[in-house]
Amino acid sequence: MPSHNNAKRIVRLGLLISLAMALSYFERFIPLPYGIPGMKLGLANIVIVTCLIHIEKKDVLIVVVCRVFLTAFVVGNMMSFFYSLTGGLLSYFGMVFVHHYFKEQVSVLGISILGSVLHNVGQLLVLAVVTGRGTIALYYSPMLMSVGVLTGVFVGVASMYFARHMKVIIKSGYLDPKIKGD
Amino acid sequence: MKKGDAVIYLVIALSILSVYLVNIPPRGEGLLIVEVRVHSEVVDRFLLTETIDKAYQTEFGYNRIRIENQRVRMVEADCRDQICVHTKAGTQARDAIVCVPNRVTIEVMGEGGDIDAISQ
Repeated sequence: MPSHNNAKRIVRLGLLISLAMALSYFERFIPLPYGIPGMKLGLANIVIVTCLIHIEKKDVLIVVVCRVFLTAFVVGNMMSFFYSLTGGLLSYFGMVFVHHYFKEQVSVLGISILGSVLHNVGQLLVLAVVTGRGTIALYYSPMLMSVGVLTGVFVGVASMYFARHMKVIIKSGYLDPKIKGD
Repeated sequence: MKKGDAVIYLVIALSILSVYLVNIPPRGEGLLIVEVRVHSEVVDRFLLTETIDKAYQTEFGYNRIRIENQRVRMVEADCRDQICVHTKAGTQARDAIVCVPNRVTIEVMGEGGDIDAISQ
């Protein structure tokens, strides 16, 4: 029954996108010690990493893009939109690449650390373009990349817990990840 | 830890180390220059030893910088995030303060523009 499966997929996507949005919104209230442009916790990555490992990759791209668009519409501005989009896409493609080609050799933690670091690298690229000064992005990069490692560890551990809890939801039959779209 | 993880960590560690090494300020007691840019155009150059308090009203917004006691700071900005105002003061070559929404950058650089030699 294609229409039935499609409805499930839409429900699943809606849930994941709203979860990612809520996390991006929530992390604005957590103060960060240093004033570095583009520094973020990247809590939405918890959803992205979990989806990437437990749901098909095509759907994750939809979650990434919708999350960025909707968050920018609700609370952001043009600048934060470009920051999130570049960081989000770079992080997504990096994680998909590693997950697709080296699935057996990498753990959830490795993937999430890579994703967080790439997210910050993407933000640095936007910083370089916006200010027109690549050198400034370079000054900030060691700090931002190190921060990315720390947030990556946090995101990785959190997604392991998230996946465990999601299995319960999956068992209830509403979110069977084996059901493909259409 | 799996083998692929080790490779990922190694690549990340090496890239952090290499950008860190590139960023180490050059030795020497040369004069430090503060360069203020709006949208990548240089609008002002000061010596870090000067005492300056200057406001910039541009098409992107309002910013005010202050140089005193060999420290440069962004003291005021009308941007939303206020990250530039909270950035620590620039005191040595390759320190930078950025106001992304207003496209204003303040860079401290050594005399002779060694930084430009790297970026171009």
